[in-house]
Amino acid sequence: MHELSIAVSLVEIATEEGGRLGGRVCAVHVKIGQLAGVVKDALAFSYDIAAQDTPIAGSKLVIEEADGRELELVALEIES
Amino acid sequence: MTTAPRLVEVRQNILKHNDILARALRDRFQESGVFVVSLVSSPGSGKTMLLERILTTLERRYRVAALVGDLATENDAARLARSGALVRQITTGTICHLDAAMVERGLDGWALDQLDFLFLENVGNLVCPASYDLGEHLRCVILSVTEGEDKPLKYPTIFNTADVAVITKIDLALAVEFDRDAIERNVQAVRPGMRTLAVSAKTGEGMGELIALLEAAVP
Repeated sequence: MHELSIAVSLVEIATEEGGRLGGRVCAVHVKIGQLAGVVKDALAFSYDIAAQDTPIAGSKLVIEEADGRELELVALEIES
Repeated sequence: MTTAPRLVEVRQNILKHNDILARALRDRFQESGVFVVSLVSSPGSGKTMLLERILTTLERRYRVAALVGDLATENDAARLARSGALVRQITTGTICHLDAAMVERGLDGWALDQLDFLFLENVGNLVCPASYDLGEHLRCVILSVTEGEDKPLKYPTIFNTADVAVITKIDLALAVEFDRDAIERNVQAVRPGMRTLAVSAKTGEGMGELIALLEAAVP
């Protein structure tokens, strides 16, 4: 169960990128491979906890599944 | 008036920070001329006993150190320190794996250029350590004959990220009707071409081959 660690890393990077782009991050799109060893539901659950009290709190996590070892932040939805 | 949110592609590895740190560690290891080996396995595979045997053997000819990860207790470090090697425990608390930052902190104050070998014993877990690069040169996945031949098929990710598979407790092979061919097949199915070694840290069987593999890596 390391999804919380992954979620914390994801929130850090999404916050960094969001800060660089400006505006409010309302959704975070990620790609998770089947071989990444990450359970989608556990990541979704951990994400909301990890995002609490950060600039991207309340943002939606959108998970796209892939075949390999992907563990990637793909895109941010930004409201200006 | 509110505008629709815009979708901006950013494309970043989620574990970017760990990867950057791991790369820096790898560069440091390279510059210092220390060969770094990580050990991953499930709890109870005999990882610590194997490492004890490796440290005791290598310590006679090389300068050897180890960082050992566990959720709690300093038991393993105390046990391994008897080998004469430099040993430090990393207690991870509730975290189920080592990451590059923990390794970096664990190395604090150690002169890496004074070492030939550094071993990183991960927390006993075959799932989470797979995602975290520690900057090691060689990742050994360890499984014991008592664990079942289908372990590689059940945990393909960790086997896929490892460089060599070490089968431990081979002295118990007969008692548990261990099927060496089956495990070889299963390892090759998830990681074609991976080298497998069978050892007993208790009797010393196969240890020579493992030590030779490690020694081949240092000048």
